[in-house]
Order: sequence, then C-alpha cells, then structure tokens
Amino acid sequence: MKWEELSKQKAEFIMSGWNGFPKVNEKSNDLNLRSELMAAFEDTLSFLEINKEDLIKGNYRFDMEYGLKVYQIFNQYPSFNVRTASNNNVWRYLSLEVIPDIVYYRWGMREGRFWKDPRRIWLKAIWWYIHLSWQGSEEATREVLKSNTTDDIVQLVERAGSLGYRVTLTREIIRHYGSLTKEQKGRNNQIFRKVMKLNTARAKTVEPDLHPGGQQSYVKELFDYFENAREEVKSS
Amino acid sequence: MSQAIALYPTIDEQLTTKLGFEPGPFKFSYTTDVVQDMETQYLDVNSSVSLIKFEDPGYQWDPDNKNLIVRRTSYISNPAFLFGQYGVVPKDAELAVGVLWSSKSVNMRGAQKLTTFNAASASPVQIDLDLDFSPGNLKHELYLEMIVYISKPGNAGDNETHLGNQPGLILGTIDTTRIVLEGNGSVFPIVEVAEETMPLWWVVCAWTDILEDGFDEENVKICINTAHKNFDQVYSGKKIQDSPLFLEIMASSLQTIIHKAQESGSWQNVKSGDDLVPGSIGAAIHYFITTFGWDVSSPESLSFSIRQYLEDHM
Repeated sequence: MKWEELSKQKAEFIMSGWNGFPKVNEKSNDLNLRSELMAAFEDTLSFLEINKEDLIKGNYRFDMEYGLKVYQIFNQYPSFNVRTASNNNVWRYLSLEVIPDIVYYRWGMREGRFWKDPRRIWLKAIWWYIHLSWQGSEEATREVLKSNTTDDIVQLVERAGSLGYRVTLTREIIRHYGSLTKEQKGRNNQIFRKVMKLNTARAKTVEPDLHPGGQQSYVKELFDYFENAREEVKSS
Repeated sequence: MSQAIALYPTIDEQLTTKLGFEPGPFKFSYTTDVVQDMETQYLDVNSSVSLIKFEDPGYQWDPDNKNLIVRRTSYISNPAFLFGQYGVVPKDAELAVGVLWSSKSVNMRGAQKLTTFNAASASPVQIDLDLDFSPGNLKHELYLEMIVYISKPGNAGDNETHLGNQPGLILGTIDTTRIVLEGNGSVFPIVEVAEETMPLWWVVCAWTDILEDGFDEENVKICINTAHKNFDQVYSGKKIQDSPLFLEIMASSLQTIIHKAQESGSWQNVKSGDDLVPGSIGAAIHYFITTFGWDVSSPESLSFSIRQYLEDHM
C-alpha cells in the first residue's frame, strides 16, 4: 500500500474549507483503512461506555485504547514502518482525509492536532505513544499504561531529544513506571515527568543504552533518585 | 552528544591525536540471498564530521526494502595515554568504545558496545564496528559517533581523584561520521513546480519552530516554476553553477529565509547556536553565519555577503 501524503499548505487549505464540520475524502483506495479505523473507534467507545460527544472534554483512556487499536491496524501493513510513522505529511493525510471526523470528536477544530504542530498531530502522537511503550502484546501494553494520564503522553512523545528516541529505553521506563503502585505514584507527584527530565540530563554524560549495569538498572536508578530524595526529606 | 561542561578531564583534540586513532575504511552491504557489497564514496573527510555515502552497483538498495550493514575496523594505537594521572581514568579502570547511531529523520537512535580495554591491553586496540539495520528503519542520513566510556571504574589513587570514575561515564568522542542514505547530502530544498499564473520562483517558509523544524521541503523550500516563460534561462542549458540567474534566485531566497528567521522570537538562539536541534532551520542558518561568514548585521551587508560567498564558492 502506498501511503498518501498531504503538505502543510494543502492541509491548511483543506481545513479552511470545512464549514464547522470535517469532510471525509471518500477516495476508494482509503476506504478499507477508514472502515477499519471507524470500527475500532466504535469498539473503543462501546468498550469504555462513552459517547463520542464526550471525547472533547479529554479522555486518557480513550487515547490509550484507541492508540492500541490504531497501532496494530497500521502495523499490519508491511509498508508501514518508522519511516512512514515519521512522515508528518502521511499523518496529515490520515487526519484530514481519512478520519477527520474522529480527530474532530477528540479535538474540535484545533489545527495543531490535525496538521499544524508536528509533535502534536493527535493520530501521530498516539501511535508513537504506543510504539514507545510497547511491551510485546496489547494486553501487556495496556497493563503498564492503564493508570497513566494525558500528560504522560506528552512527556513521553514530546521529549524526543535532539537525535531521536531510544526505543528500548522508553519501553523500560514505561514498564518500570507502570509497575509502581498507585500509592508510590501518589507519594511522588509527577514522578514520570521528573524521571524523563532527569534522563535527558543524565544521558549527556552516560549513554543509557551502554550503561554497564544494563538498561534496567539505569532506569531503576532514575526512579530511585526521586524515591531516595523523598526519604531524605522525610528523615531530616 | 551535547556539549555539557564536564567536571573531569575528557578526551580533547590533543589527546585524540596522542591516542593515534586510525579510522578504517567503511564497508556497506545488504543481504538478498547473498551479501551484496556496495561502494563507499568519501565526500568530505577533512572536516571534524566526515561525510560519506555509498552506491549500490546493482541499484537495488533502497531504505524501505533492504537492510543496511555497516562495517569498519579501526585502531587506537596508544591507548595507554588514557590511563592514570594525566589521562582520563584511574590506571586500573576499564574503558570501552561504543558507537552511538542516530537517524534524525525517523527520530531513532541507539548504541552498541564495540570493545573494552585497560592499561594492560595489547596495542593497538582493535575496534570492529558491525551494525545491521533492518529495512524501513533509516531515513535520509545515518549519524555515527564513536565514544569512549568507563565500563569498570578503578580505584582512584591520591593523584587520580580529579578523574572521572563512574560506570558508564562518557569521556569523549573520537570519531564522527555522517552517512548520506538518500539524496545528494546537500540539503538545500529546491523543488520544481508548474504553475502558469505564478512568477518564475518564490520561497515558502512554513515552519512552526525554527529551532526544531527540519531544514527540508516540509518547512522551507524554493519553488522554481517550470511553466514560466523564462524558466529556460534558470539553468541556461549549462551547469547550475554557471547560471547567474540561478545564483541570484539562491541569494534572494536565502536572504528572504534569513529575514524571516530574524523576525521569529528565537533569533538570538539561532545566532548563538543554543538549543538548536541538528538539521533544523535554525541550525542551518547558524551554520551559514558562522561557517560561511554571512554578515547579518544589516540587510545590505547580508545581501552583499551572501552573493560574495555564492559567487566564490558555487
């Protein structure tokens, strides 16, 4: 399958032509993909027992569940790889021509989520969120992601770093974070954000992928840093 | 690697020279039923970052459907300089050489350990690079950085307490290579369009964040109109470099792009080079200013220095 593209200029032009509600481009070669994505959308809504009109208020569980579906739908096409997933114009096409109605239910007419802001194109963000968190299966991935928030999506996806993502590392960080109890997360406000920041700083002097103790111990050190800091405060 | 200020001695240029790092030739190949060798082309090996590309004699390699194997054997002739009081680690520590690879256009990076050695290892230390990227995982460029880091800390003696000694600590980069995978490596985004009612050429500046967005067609481009009556004169049948009109289009476009950049809130960063993502528009302009010596202090000096540079160098 060839993945159609849409440039920034064309995206802007198309969106400016919408009159309050998006128009689907019913080109025959995308209809299969659209019906798959629509079916997944309906499934997700009924699974979560919510209405599409409620999505605009923001809903992490929807982003995660739909992300899990979208991730697997795209990945079943052999031609869909990280090259495709890094091509903003492919995401612009998908967002504006294939499932603009779904993007609209989630974000209204926010152009940044359709095409304008490459890091925030919603469909792209949820695909990468799942990709950077993937634990080998849908169930295992859901298990580590289920108590996260929309802010965690931002923290993970938007901290690409100047040279890109270390995928095995982000998956390990997510695994570790997902294994914390609710109490542990509650005790340490915004620990995920703090860990991601610490990682950025630490990766300047130590390459996480080459840590002599292995990636797991590198990640454990990141989390322990805040856990220990908290205990020191408590005991002093 | 970002330039963090280190509180311990690192491998600087002087020490790299003393080490006697001997880079070997790069070998590129891919697998079909057998291993297909490709030809390495050295575009620029005199800069601090070498620029190379490869060509498949069979024209079969493409980044979507073929893997890419990168091999290279290099040597460090005098590793002993790294150890002890005047080196970078305590004399009984163990060091490792690793490679950091990245392909910014797909937002992917990784690292691999290549070898370890200590003060007692035989010289030279041999470093075998052997990377195999599966199809569909690289785009435009592959960036390789060879680093030295601590694999096992030592026992710092009294005169070694100033040295770095933590496991994993990066002590420096000994070699950096930019490998062009697609395109010609000259990143200037020029596209041809056919629009009968439009002028001969124009510039599109469509970036959102100059510090981050790539210097590529998506965010900035020069459009040259093939449907224009004067299009023939742009290239005038000769080499691009020989066309004064083309040179003038380039000069005016670049000037327009820089003016637009000056209006953005991030211009100070572009000038100073702080917080620039490699490959971004900001990084490209920073390079023009610092390396080509373009003078951005006034419109007329910018106009002058761009043209002077292009006429001398194209």
